[in-house]
Amino acid sequence: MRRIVLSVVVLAMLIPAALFAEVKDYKVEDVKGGGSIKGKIKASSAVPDETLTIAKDEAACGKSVKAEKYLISSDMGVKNVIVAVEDVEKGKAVPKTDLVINNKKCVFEPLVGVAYVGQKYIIKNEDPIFHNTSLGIMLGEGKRRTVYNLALPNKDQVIEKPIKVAGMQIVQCDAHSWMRGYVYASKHPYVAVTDDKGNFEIKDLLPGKYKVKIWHEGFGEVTKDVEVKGGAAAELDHTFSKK
Amino acid sequence: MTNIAAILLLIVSLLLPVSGYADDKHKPEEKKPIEASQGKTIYDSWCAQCHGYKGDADAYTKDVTLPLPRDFAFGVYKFRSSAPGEPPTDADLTRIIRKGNPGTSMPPWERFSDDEVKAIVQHVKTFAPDVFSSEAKSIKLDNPPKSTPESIAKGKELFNMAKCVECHGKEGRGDGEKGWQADFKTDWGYRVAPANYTQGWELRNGSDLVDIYRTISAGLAGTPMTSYLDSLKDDERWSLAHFIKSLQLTRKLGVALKVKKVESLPVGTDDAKWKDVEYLDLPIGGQLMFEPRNFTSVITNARVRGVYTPKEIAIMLEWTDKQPSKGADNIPQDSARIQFPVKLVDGAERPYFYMGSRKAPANLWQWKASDDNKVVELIAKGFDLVESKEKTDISAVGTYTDGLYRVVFKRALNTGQEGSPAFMVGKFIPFSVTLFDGNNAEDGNKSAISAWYFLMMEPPTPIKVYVMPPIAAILVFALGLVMANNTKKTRDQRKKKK
Repeated sequence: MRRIVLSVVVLAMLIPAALFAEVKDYKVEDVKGGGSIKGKIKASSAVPDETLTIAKDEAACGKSVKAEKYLISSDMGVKNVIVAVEDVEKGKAVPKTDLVINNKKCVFEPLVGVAYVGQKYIIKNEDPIFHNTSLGIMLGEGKRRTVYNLALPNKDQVIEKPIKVAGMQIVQCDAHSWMRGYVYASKHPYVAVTDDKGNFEIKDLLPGKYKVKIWHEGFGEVTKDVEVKGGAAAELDHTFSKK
Repeated sequence: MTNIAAILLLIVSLLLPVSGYADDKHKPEEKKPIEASQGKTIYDSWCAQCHGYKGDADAYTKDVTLPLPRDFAFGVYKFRSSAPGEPPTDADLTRIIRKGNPGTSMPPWERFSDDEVKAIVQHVKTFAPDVFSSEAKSIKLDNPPKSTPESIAKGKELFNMAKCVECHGKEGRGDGEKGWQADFKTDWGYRVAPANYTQGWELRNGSDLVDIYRTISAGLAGTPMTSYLDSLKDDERWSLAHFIKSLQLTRKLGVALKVKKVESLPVGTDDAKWKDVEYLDLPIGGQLMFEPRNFTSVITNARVRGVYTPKEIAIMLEWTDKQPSKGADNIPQDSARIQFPVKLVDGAERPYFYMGSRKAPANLWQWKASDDNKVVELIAKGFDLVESKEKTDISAVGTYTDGLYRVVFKRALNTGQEGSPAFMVGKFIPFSVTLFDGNNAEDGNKSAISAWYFLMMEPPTPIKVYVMPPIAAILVFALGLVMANNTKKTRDQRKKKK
């Protein structure tokens, strides 16, 4: 038991180090004869979704909202799982897409998103009430490292900010404690979020051995080794079980 | 009379600057230019004791400081003039070293030369190289518009619209409901309380208009204090700063409180009569002599007012508390206590400042938030020998409104009871104040205390003060007339002789 606790503590301390380690420049080059990673992320059994109670600004937010934390399909596929290839140093160009984070009916939209370093966050408030949107790198042990904390007091306020910091972030609103979202900011394009059925596909990777991080808000995180071969799709499946 | 003279002498001598401090100031003597590499040497000898040799704030002071020293290695910096998402500028780090952070253990450092500060700043930046890899720019802070009643009114409107009020409270005392939800934490995982604007001396990021504007604009990274740079216009943020600045109290420090005679004592804490009564602000700090000691006290000021009639005296204590406590599981209740010497002696001699001693006991009046305005009167012969009196003639009324506690104590000038000092008009009566913040686990010896001060019930101005000066003036005038007349006569006589 002690060993487990100790290793957890050590691992938690290593998380920030791992984040810093990712600060390496990404080189864009043509990927010819690349391979892909595809798969399905499943749950070992159905987990009921949670309902969040709302005790403030009910006129704009409603009385309760579905957490949409455990979105599991009939064949046990899990939605909103982030699948990210780690430490990719070169490959295809990073998409020129900005990430829109919308405050809508006191819920962040999307709940789970991917952002690309060098592009922009477009943060919106569609509600007629005050929100603040606070993004922070998750460090474990209840700690985070603030990236942005922006006030959006007006309806239809839009704030654009450059995406500079890479890593797994939590999105929060200090005015409404139930609001939360997750953003994975990446320096490279090899990141995916699973669909309704738990499927994902990451294309055009240079052949080689990779570590792939699989993360879910409720189930947690695992890292898997994957070997990508040219012209082929490497299978990566994982089944989470609730701790 | 000699006693008053002695006390006045003491007061005057207390007002004189202590010369020893002057040595601590930076001497502008010629020094060799400081290399950036010397930053580490200076940091290790002057900063590392709190901020850690590795900049990670892992130092022995961490158990006795609140707020905790900045962890530089963590990479989040609250006090910046840069846009959100950017590191602080060199000027920001320099400002903090030079000015300190009021209300924290970070003092203003004057002993270092500008080159030395530069070297320290460079060294501090090495603890989080990735954060400081990009150069930060300050937002525009110069040319603040003038504060006018209109801009303050506009700022008040924005204060509600931008929801500042939710955390900082209606009167800006940091008592907003939102600020007290359980998950209100900093990046470091610590509980955080919204700032109390009214007490400028404890505003970490400074209390000047430009400091407030900077905080509203850039936010305080790592805390729920969000940035309004992109959502409010420049002039709106200045108006907001004007309003917040207008909430700051003017602290009146001194050694003696004048207690004036009135026809009848004010009723309760809301009585309009209190508004015109002179006050004295007492700096408050943690009790550090006896266990459990209070290194992390949060109450910094007590405002005291007093009035008397020929029979009774009323003393009002006023202090801020962001979250009131009437006591709950493991949370003590808020409380206030005034201390007097049991024996009032002529001269500056007073009992031991904390609960007196066997030889010179103290008389304590204690009000507790949950006790429905019942007063406990105690006789303390030292912290370890405290007895509560069975009967007391003291009454008290306490209220809590918008982050402000006000408690009025009343007592007969002379109760005739043993242990309760009789108050004499015209005498300097020593008193001190002890306050307890239940949510800060303050109870027993773990308290926030003031030093000894004096209160003096002013004798009503005798009638001769109004009568004698005019009489003297008339006499002098008459004497002048006579003399002028005499001079004229003499001159005339001399002229005649010629």
